[in-house]
Amino acid sequence: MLIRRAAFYLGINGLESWQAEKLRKLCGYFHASVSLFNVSQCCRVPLENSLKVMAAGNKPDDFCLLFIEGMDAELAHLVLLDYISEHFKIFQSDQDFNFVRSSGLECHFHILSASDLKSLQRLDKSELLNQIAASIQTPADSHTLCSLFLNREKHAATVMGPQVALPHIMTELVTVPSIILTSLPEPLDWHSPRGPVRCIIAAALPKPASIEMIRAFTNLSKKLVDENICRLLADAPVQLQAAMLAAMLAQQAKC
Amino acid sequence: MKNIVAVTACPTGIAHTYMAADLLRKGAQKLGIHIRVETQGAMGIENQLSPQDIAQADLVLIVSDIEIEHTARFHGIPISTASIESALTDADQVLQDCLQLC
Repeated sequence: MLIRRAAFYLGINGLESWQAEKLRKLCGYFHASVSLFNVSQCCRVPLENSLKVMAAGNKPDDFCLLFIEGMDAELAHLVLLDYISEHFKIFQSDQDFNFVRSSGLECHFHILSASDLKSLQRLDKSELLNQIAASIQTPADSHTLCSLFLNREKHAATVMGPQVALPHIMTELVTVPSIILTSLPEPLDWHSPRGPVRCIIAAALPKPASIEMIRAFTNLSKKLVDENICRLLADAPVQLQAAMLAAMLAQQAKC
Repeated sequence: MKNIVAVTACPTGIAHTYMAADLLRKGAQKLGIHIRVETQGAMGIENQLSPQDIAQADLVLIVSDIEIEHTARFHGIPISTASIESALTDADQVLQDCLQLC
């Protein structure tokens, strides 16, 4: 079974009913099943049902993914992409992605890539948290921050849904909020009964944090309770993960 | 139908407080329990339990890794406690245990 994916931002009018109807028609030409996942609203609907698509609560500038599964996914992808690029803004991972602009949060964002971690002889949870702490913008010593992370983990491991962890601290030692995204090729033991993780979203927030920042994080954590979202997030390439993360932080949770 | 009021809280109050609350609500729906969950997180107290909620409750469930605020209001009602970790791992089990106590 072929799976193709397309990521895009809705325009200033969101997703209008005639557009949903046109997308439904285009889907009808193919055997592949297509679903629309609105990351910002945290809602996944089949594209062939335009009523459900409208009910997803699409709002202007929402970040969306199309999942196309089936034997003719390649062809369906081409056709749908053509329509989407005409009406919406396609997300391209090679283009400069601005996390601060997308999430609307004043913060320092950094991606810890697999190559950054290659130099390490052995990767485990505390070593990774050490690396994360070193990427955080702070006047304080990174070892101190690392021990704060580890202390937090002692209370309860911060695994959210499957494969996703959200280690976080709130401390006077940081002045600018930092968000560090790590995507691992292999699952890493996070010392939790909820299993190992591949996608680690680390956050170091100032204490007290601004209400916007706290709201953004509570939005995110409410969404990451959903198993499907966690799987999608863990399976996405790291640039797409960053865009999904920004979208989930930006929007108020529906629930 | 059993009536439970719950309070969730965690050290940072930005993630697990809300996750646990969500899982408890979902679990309670599955088990046919009426539940009201108050979160005591970094945003302060949300979905605050009303005196009526508390008066009607068969049990108070506190899911927290820290001391929670305003415990005096639960005087006279059986209280069950659980860690955040246990609620995240198996919220259904935590609720089942509550039913035993009701």
